[in-house]
Amino acid sequence: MAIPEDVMVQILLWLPVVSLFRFKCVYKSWYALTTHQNFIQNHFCHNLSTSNNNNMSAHFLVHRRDKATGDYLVSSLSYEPLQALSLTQPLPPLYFGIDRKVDDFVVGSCNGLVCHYDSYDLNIVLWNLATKETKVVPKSTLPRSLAFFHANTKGIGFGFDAKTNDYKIIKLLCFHHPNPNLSSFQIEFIDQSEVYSLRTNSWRKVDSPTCIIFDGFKGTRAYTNGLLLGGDYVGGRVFYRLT
Amino acid sequence: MSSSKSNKIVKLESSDNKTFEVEEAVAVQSETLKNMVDDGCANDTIPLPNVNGKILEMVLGWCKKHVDETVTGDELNKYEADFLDLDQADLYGLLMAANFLNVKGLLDRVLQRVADMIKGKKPEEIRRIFNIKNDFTPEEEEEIRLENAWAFD
Repeated sequence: MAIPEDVMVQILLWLPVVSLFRFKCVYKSWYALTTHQNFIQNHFCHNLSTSNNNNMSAHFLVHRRDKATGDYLVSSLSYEPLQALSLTQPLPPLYFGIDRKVDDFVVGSCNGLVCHYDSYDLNIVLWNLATKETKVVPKSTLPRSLAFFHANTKGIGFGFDAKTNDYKIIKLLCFHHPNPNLSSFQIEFIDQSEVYSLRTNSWRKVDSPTCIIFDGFKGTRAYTNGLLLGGDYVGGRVFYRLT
Repeated sequence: MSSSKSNKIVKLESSDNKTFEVEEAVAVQSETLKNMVDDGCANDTIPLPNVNGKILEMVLGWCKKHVDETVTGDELNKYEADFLDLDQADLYGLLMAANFLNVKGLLDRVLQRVADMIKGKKPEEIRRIFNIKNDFTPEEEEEIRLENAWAFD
């Protein structure tokens, strides 16, 4: 049966991601269509609006470390019913030969994109669970405000900025004087904040909030609607409004 | 002056010259027909040269069921599920008719049904079903398959 293109596009919107990727090679027009940003966006929104009807919109992302192999693994669980939706998969093999003692953290996940961060090489990686694509975020080359101090990443957050239709990562840095005798404070300030935009693939400085991070619990969180939550310090939580 | 609450009858003629008479409330489930009614073009028989009698009867049956207030939610769900149990030729006819007549609920269900039928198929089968000519060279196609090997498992 020969179907007009406008109808064909509508059929493609109802297909799961794995089928779309398989059908990329059907012919050139479909390849161009399914890799176009507008279609991808429409497909995602269509998925959201139709899956809500089936009560499958809530998912948990489970991040854990395999005891035997030391590999980091990720699984997704549906909320209702509580069951594994996808097979457990290892994190992308980006770090070869790295000491197993390295810590890898899931910074957050948003719209099926997972952001994680390793404490060894200080890489931030974005991982699309559905399409298996990964992107290593380029390291920031912004000049640091206190050049001869040691800069530590004290918080990372990840989220989606609906205003600019862009994924963003925010990094909070604070500085320690190289002389360890001078750095023993209970309270530390964030001295520099940087925001990465996926759209421009670059970092920029933003004004740091005047805030003090207190004790909380370790871990960084993902984000909703322009508000980024970050905080990985003795466990502080910092809230940022993104614009 | 609203005539939408009256028992106005809309007359339709299929491509194979079958005529159907339905109440306006049924006909306006189709956005296409609704526009014609609103524009005052529905006083004579409306010809539908791209919908045959069998398919048009099915579409009108769907529309009638969806304005019938005595039908329960469960009954409607069962009706919709049974309705889409069709062979490929009828499904294709229904898809084109639902798209042309713009019957939203029906179009979504048919699109979903077609997507469900094709989602597990191989690219070669897709080309056969939709009469698509492959315009990739064998090397280009192989490269795309390798890039997306995980989708072929």
